[in-house]
Amino acid sequence: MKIALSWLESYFTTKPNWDEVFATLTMAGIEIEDIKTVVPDFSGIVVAQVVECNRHPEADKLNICKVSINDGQLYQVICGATNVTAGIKVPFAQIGAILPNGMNIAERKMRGSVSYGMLCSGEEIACPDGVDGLLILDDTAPIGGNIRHYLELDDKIVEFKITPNRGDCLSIHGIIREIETLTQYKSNFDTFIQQAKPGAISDQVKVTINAPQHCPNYVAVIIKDVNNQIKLPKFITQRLEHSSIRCISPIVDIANYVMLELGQPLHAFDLNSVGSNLNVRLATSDEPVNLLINKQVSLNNNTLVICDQHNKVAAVAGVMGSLDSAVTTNSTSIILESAYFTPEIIAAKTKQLGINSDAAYRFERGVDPQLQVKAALYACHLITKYCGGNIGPINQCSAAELSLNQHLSVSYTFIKKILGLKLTNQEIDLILTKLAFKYKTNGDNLELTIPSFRFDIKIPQDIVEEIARVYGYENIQAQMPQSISNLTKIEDQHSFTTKLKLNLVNLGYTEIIGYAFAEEKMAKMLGNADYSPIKLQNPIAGLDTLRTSLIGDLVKALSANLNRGHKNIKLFELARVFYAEDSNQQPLKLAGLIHGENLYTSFENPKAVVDFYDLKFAVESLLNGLSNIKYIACSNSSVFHGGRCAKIYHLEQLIGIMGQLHPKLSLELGLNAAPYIFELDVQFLALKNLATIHEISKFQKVERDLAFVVNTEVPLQQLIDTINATQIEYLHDLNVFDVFTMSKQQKSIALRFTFQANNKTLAEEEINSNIKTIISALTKVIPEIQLRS
Amino acid sequence: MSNTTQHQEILHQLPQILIRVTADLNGVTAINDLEQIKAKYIGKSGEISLLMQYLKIVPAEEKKAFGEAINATKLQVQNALNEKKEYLLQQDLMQKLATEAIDVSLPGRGNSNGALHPISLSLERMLDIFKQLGFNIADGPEIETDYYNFLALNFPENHPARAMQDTFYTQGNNILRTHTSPIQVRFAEKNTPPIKVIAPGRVYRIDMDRTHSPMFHQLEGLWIDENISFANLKAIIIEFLKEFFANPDLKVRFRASFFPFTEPSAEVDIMDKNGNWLEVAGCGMVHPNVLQYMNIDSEKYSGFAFGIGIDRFTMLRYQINDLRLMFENDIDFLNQFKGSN
Repeated sequence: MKIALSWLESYFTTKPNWDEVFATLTMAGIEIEDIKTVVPDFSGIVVAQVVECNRHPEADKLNICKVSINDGQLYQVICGATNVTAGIKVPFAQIGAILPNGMNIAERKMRGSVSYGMLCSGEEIACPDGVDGLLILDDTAPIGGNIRHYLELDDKIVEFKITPNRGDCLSIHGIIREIETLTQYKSNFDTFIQQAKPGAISDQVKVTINAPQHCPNYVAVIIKDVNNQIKLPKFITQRLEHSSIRCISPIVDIANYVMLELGQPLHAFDLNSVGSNLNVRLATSDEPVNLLINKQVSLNNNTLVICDQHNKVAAVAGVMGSLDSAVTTNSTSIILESAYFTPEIIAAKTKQLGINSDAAYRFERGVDPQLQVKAALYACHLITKYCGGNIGPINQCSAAELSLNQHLSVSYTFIKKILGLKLTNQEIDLILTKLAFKYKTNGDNLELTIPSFRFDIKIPQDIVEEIARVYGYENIQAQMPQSISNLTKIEDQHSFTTKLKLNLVNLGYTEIIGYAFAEEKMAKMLGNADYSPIKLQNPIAGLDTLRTSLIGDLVKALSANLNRGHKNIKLFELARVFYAEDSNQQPLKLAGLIHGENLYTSFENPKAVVDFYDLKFAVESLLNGLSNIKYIACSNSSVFHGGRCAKIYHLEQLIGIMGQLHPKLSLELGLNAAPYIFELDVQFLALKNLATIHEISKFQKVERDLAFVVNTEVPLQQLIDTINATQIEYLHDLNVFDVFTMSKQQKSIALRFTFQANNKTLAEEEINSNIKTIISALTKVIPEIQLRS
Repeated sequence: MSNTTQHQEILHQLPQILIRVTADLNGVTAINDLEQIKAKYIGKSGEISLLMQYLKIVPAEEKKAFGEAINATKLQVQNALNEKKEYLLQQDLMQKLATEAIDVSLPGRGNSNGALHPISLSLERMLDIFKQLGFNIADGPEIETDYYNFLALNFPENHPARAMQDTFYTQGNNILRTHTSPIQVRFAEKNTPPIKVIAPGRVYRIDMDRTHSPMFHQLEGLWIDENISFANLKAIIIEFLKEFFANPDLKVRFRASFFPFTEPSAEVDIMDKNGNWLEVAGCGMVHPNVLQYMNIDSEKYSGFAFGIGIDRFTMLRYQINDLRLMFENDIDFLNQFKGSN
């Protein structure tokens, strides 16, 4: 809410120290979002009268003027404006003046004549008036007077940030009540709110309320013989403009003015178009109305409407009138509506209709349910004062359950306990008085009567907040809790994921953070093909698809960094992904990517380009502590290279996938080489075993190296599985130490077997017999296998 | 007499011999040459060894002294030889080490480290502080129901307060959570007071500019017990802020505000180095309606909740002036956090 400071100040007989007042309001929850002067700074511009005006002898389009600022001399000014003529009063920028755009005014020679200053247009002094030429001031403007004072350009506009619970502060009166509660300043606001005397004519509106639960109070009054073509005093229209409310016509402007002053939204109908029978009811489904901003909308059946004599919608209650029923400058008879609609019935209506409404903004935050008559009579007073007219009787339709003052019971002890504050009961009483809350004490108990304008106060905790606010949050002494705590759980997910992240950081990977949503194309292309993505109903920036995999953002980050000239990239991200098939699951994933050279920071050459096994080193490091991990070749992935991809299993559970990005995608994404990527399901990484400790053997270990020749497609895993299946007791360790391709069909795999017994030194024969067992087991499974000598 | 004179002369020669030994040793540069010198002086037919043959002409009462003098000289030569040998060995070693010297300023072999994202770094710092204070860490889903994100947090349907948090809708009636507060309710459903928990995570709102990202990070805190007060809330927040920003003199203020799920509610501001107040957190005493949704007796228990914008804290801690940098994943930006705490 924006209010001109001069307006607010006009209700105080002693000028408040505003800096102090605004600081206090801000601390008490009425935040001052911004304070701006009406126009930017400028100086040296005064009101001047043009005394003489003659055509410049050397230039057709220029005039040489003599202007007076009542200092006993005349100033020669060259002026090119078409509307300059002798006698007018205009803004005059003297030598040394600084214009709002920063321009410095100095003596200037124009076609042989010197100009001692400049006559200004509205535009040039930041008061655009749409006129092409000088800003011609009123005859009453004081010659020589500072233009900023004369045009009240030094006024400030204060923007209040009112929280949704404080609808009572969406008016000058509301702000003044807060100032009076929180500071020593007192206003004379009430003396300004004059009330018209109704009943000069007998014309009356017949109001039928068919939905009293939504409209507990409806006040309507007829005013006839008004002139809606007069010009309202400048102070009214200027105040409205400073509050960013557009001036429409005197009656509408007065309605808005009263709303800003009192907080009660008002609406005016043209009596001749709506007739004197009004009906307040819920709209029917898809009932149409053309709003006064000339927007055709269709309503739903939980929208409250005001209908005219033909039961046609004349207004969406508390939101906006129809175009047909609107007051125009030609209107002479009007119905003024001052109603109380419940917040629930107005809530979300502007959003549904796609419009803005200052009235709805207030109704949905609540207005004082006892304010309607007062506001109507005040508006009638202003309308008859400026537009003339005669007022009919006030017609008030109230539902029986119209909320009166709220009663609340709260104990002193409760207030002090919740705040942790040592206050005396008297201090609390004093604060309640400042808040205009009436109270009776009954031992420790307070019986409170809340004034109707504080409709936000509903529960004891609201009283606690009021006490704290007025006492000052700053004055409440901080105190560490005296509380016994339980032992915190050590196995929290975050410590675990942090360890995983640090593990990758130590391996050279850098963490990125991607958005959970992506463009559909990217999300699908690099998504998890086993699931479908969830679409956002209201996306921004085209990011309409929740990711099913973290791979997309890794690749996107790779691409962006490659474009910035980076090489040798290692990235990872840890985040949730989302599946349409089961949106409750939201599994946490850990994905990593490598691209470029390995060990690139080394000074040694040659440097190797990263491959599958560099990536696998990181995966193995993350899976350290999980036994029974298997890497099964996967040739049918849409994301990965068919020959360089593995699905990762723990026992029978798929826990991740890794491989080289499919060359087709790499090409499509414009990457110079396909990166290697892994993605793991974090929940399965946490299933680590507790270490099982065996007795350490004191006897000699014996190593045997054997090289096997097998067909190229035989995986190492098959050899290891076969050997492990023999369950040789003394086989202590088994490692691959050399692999090389012998021909297109054959490769050699060299294994190192370590034998050791717990109770003896192994004899040569025992080892040889074990080796024999191994070879025969391998030959059974892989018939073509050969020992390489 | 002449014999006496002769053997005394021999004894007088000994220092001369030692001087020659020293001179000879000075000329030696290789260990192998020491053997020659040894042979020359104290070998079987070395100059000093040969002097022993004069023993027979030494009078009986002086034999012992004569022998001792010769042997002492031999010992001196031997010591000098040993010393020289030791010296030469040391020299050889030094030379060998010198030839093996490397450039210690070259980088180490292996992977250089990567970096944690600054948001992770500041989150870790936050978690460390709250763990010290005995808080548990909880987690919750990012796709939430209207119930947990709004209703159970006392945001009635259509309430204007909902407009404070512009919401992404997914499918069905689900949304992307707009804050981490739903975790409060989820945690309280499964635990009984005393409850002392923090919950960090990603949250989503429709907003995108220099200071807003449609995805950002919050840390939620909740402490419910008997006799938990607003004064306690202030103490915890102030201690946390001073510790996080490592500034014991940090100026902190609490300003009245509004959140549907707390009453009283407060915004927390800290003073920056230019003397301006910056909004860094929202907090308050848990609203009785929320306690009711949590099935907690609001007569017996009270509690406070707070929410902290991790991204904003990160920007303040590392003096990052554009939020968007945090989500562009530019390696030049991210690598600045290598080894940072």
